[in-house]
Amino acid sequence: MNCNRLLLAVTTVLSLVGPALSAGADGTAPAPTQTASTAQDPVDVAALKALFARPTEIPFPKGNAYTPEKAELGKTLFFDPRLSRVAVEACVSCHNPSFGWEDGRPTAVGDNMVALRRNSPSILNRAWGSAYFWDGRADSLEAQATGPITSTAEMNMSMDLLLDRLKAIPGYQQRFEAVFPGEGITATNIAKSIATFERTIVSGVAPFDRWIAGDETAISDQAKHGFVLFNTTGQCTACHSGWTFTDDSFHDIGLPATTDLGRAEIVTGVAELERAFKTPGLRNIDQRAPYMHDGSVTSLEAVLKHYVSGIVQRPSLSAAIKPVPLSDQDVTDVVAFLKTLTSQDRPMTLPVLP
Amino acid sequence: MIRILALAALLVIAKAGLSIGDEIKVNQANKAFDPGAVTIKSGDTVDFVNGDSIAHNVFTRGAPEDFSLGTIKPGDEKKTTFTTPGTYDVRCAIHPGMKMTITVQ
Repeated sequence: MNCNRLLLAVTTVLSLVGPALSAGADGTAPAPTQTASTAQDPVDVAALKALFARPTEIPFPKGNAYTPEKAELGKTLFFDPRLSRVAVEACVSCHNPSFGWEDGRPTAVGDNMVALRRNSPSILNRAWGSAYFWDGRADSLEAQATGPITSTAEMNMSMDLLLDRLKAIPGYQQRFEAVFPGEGITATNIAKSIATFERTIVSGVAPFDRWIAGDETAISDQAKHGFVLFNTTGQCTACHSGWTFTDDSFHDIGLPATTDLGRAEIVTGVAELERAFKTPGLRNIDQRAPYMHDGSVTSLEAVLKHYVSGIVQRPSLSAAIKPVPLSDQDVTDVVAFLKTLTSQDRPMTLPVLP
Repeated sequence: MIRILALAALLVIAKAGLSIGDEIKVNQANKAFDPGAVTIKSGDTVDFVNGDSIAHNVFTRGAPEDFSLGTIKPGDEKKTTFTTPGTYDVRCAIHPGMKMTITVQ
């Protein structure tokens, strides 16, 4: 199968479910309808909706085209704890589909059960990303895929040992040879396989998607008001833009300072990058607590209240981050909207390891 | 007389193998580089002009060589001269979706 861009409909086999999906995936969804603004929301809601329409295809890079066999191999590797030195941690240990592809902990747990300093980021919708990890140290999913495996703090595996280990498993030998004829098990092909699987992890059609596709009954009036606040008073779209709700950029959002300098540890000499971390997407966000790069905020309400009254002012604070005048009721309404971004995804099946 | 002196100076520069490179302007607007790709000669200078209302940066990692121009504030510009041939994948470190390619011949 030669396709750099895979129809989203295909991914339903892997991760998505919902009667509205096929309508959204095959382009037959009803056109968005103009919704009359309420007295409290004198904005063009239809125009706002158009900014968040789902794409119809997953983008795959030219150098790593999609095949179902490659994605399945990547899934198998993703779930295999033998990719860690002590063979107890797999990629899925920190990127668990039950927690929106995070792990539900404030910060990840690495080798020898030592707590790491940052929250496990979700792998949802990363096919559309342009930088990876909280600090953007990887420029592609292929570069990201083997980072945690070979990190001494995380899975603590050397690539040489991993190659030896996988080559000793006949089932992996056969599957790599089938996917990469004449190449077999290499570091590059491990990365390509995992990255391909990760690109297929796409959040499904959520009530919000059905609403912007024209179903006015898909979300509550409270959530609709929250959507308007999200786009206006809350100024959330300064960073959380587009259908994945992220600009994939780096911002210091004014959390209490720690020794973690974020993006500035990767790119020096740019004041704006101190304590700046990549904007997380918001799809399936109510499955993904706790929040922020350090997992320090336990609820969506508390996240919003940070932007109302908790921002620490300092020179590196992003120009996009300003205190927002949201009332307690506004916060409740925005949270109601955020919860409409969660899709009812099909339970992920476990692969049978070779 | 002045013309003769200027001509003599150019001849000296040419004799020494030196050349004065061109300057190419690249705009940063709407979180994108414009143009998205340029081909220049070794010794040419690229002038990055931030036309957005937010700060940007210009950096590259890996071959042919790393560089970062630090912060380019709205309305400001920064220049750098390329002397090592090769293809540079350039990004904004703040907004990594901003990408361009500079090919130095």
